[in-house]
Amino acid sequence: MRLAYVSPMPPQRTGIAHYSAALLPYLAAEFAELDLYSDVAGSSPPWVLAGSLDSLVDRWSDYTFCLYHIGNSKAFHTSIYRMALEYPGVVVLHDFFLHHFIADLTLGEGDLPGYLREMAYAEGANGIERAYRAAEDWHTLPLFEIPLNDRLLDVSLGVMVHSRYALNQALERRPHLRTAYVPAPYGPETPDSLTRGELGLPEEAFIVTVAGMPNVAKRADLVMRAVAAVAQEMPHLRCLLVGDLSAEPSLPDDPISQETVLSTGYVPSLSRFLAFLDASDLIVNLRFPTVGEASALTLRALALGKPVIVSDAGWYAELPNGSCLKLTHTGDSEADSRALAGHIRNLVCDPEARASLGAAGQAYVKRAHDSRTVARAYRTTLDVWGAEIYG
Amino acid sequence: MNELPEWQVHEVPFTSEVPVLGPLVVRFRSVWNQVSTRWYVLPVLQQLNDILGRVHRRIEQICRRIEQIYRRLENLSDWTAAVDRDQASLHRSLAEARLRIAQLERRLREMERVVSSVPKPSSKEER
Repeated sequence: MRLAYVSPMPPQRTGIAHYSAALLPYLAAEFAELDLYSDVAGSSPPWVLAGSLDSLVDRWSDYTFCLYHIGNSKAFHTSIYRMALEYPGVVVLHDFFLHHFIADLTLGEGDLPGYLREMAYAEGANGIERAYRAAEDWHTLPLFEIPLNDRLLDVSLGVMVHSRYALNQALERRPHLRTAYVPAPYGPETPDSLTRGELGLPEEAFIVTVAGMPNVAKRADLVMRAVAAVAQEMPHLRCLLVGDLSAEPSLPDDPISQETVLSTGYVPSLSRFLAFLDASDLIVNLRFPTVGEASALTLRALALGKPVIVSDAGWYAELPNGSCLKLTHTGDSEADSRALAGHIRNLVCDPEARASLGAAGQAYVKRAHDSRTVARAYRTTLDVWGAEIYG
Repeated sequence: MNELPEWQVHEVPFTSEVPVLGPLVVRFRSVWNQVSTRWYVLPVLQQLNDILGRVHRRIEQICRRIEQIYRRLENLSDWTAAVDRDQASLHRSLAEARLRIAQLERRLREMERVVSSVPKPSSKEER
């Protein structure tokens, strides 16, 4: 089997680039003929680029499958998405909902007809009606209601997803689609060996960390408020924002919330980013609403043996109970913040519960998300689909 | 009594809130109106109502037509979207076919290479 692997790669600032960097060595062990195509400038070992995406056009039929990694970022996925539509292959759908991406690609470029066409494709005349409404008022964009991935699903030879949530959604929309659930791979990755002092963090504080890129769905505002509330009784509590997240405009700027916040800004090196996670006492990684993504950050936090609180939604809800705590979102921010504060308070007071969660989470990642196992799942899936298509 | 249509212009009876003398004021104004304006205004009012009636019926027709066009547009949008989806599905089938053909061509080339590497029988052997 000859495989063309099409993905963003480091140093591109997207989780999918890191995902591919981690998985490729294991895939290379499974597939003797595996060529990497990416629009990243230059190449760095151990990934040798077979070429840019443009160069794949003439070689597409030389491969058994082209494996397209699709996410929600216009900056990193536009050319891959277009290629996947024009030269069909197997799509690894990292975010089930692509509405953000499609809206950005069409409306974001002043291309209303393009958006109308995609909405009509998905929902017929009703889609057009909603598209006109959304184009007039972007607040009414049905970002978490209409996935806008239908064209990609229909064109693709197969679709791999990383959650049963996404798998069920895909089958609900397209019952005859070739789909497979493949767990998201994890590392292994090693954090820089740095003390809190070396990272500029207070030694005595209990650090609750929120990390990643700016995204309103990460609900960092909720975490900041919850930490600030618990800090009234436990003044050694701090909320650490790791990464670009501090640029998120939805963060509260009231003095009480700000008083407990520490912020690192963008951390360019993954190993240093991991060091911040490792230096944390508790990691909160909420995502609500979810676009059906699996979270590399959650896997990293669990793999480091940290107690983690996630949203009880999508992929996060599928994590085994006992490996993390899950926050049920009610839609009422005040109530959710109080519930989160309750979880945080309990964990601050109960080191044994923290240790038990951490150990269970670590064991789960090792068991279910090992990159070698994931690479084998890729192989098995593609073998089956290859037999179906090529006989 | 039948209620008048919303669009129709009609006479408004005089009223007065003046205490005690109010009915007298009303009576006087009604009589004065009868004498001075009524026979002139009523035909104009009728003309106006005829025009308003025609405009109203025309607007109703236009609304029905818009509704009809809207429904046709909806059907057309659904139909276009279905064609778009069929095209995507055909595109996938075509891609699968192209990939299979490419694979068969590779196999054929391989077989030709194998066949060409087999030594040809000599003319003596042929006889």
